[in-house]
Amino acid sequence: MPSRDWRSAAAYAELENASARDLAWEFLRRNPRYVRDWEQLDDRPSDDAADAVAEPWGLRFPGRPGARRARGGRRLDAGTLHRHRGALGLAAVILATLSGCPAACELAAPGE
Amino acid sequence: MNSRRQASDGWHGVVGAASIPVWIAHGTPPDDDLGALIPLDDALPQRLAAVLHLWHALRGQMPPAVQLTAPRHRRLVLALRAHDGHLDGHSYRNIAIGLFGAARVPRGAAWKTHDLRARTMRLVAEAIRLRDGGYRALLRTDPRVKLAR
Repeated sequence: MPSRDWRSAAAYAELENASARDLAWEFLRRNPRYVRDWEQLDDRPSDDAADAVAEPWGLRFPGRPGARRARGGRRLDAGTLHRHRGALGLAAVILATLSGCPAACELAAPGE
Repeated sequence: MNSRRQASDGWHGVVGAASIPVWIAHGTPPDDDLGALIPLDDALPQRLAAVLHLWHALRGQMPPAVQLTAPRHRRLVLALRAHDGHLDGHSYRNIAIGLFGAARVPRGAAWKTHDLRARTMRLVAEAIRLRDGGYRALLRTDPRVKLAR
């Protein structure tokens, strides 16, 4: 397994300003079962297939642009995973139309 | 909104330099007049803080810093490094040397009772716990608005 040099604090310097969400993601992406879930998907899975894997893990939102923390560490599905990286969305903001939102009002809490 | 994508339950994307995750609920035109939808659940304090964060970002203001405390942040990164050393098959002693430097890690019997040994073992255990589900609890440490007691 390719991994960065865990002995070197500098190799983890990119986490210097990481939020709790960023760090939660760093732990999750080391989870062997999570990695296996992604590896069992096609290279270019449909959104529905990707969502079906993401949801049980509490993932919701697409990755940040320039997902620099996705490199190193375990081998992961780059394409699809980027869509979900950092995606642990408890405190994400849900937006809905101001004038009544019948569809939105049925929503469950994200990340649950 | 950047990295926008259509999901089964609406649009997902991130906003601003701080990449605030935003979910535009299903059936809402993204360019409509929008308001924040805040479920009255246990995560309400975190959601309110996230809304304030977004509000600052949309007005072009730097949102207030929303970091973990420095010691907690340091400990989590150390746990990640301990985890990766453990995964590579290193002994606790070698992990301790990698994290804290050889000068601080004693040889021989003194290691068995050294506090860095206990600390290293705790770091690995914590990392595995976080990896295998504890990451969700970590999310609950997101910034929150203060509540009355």
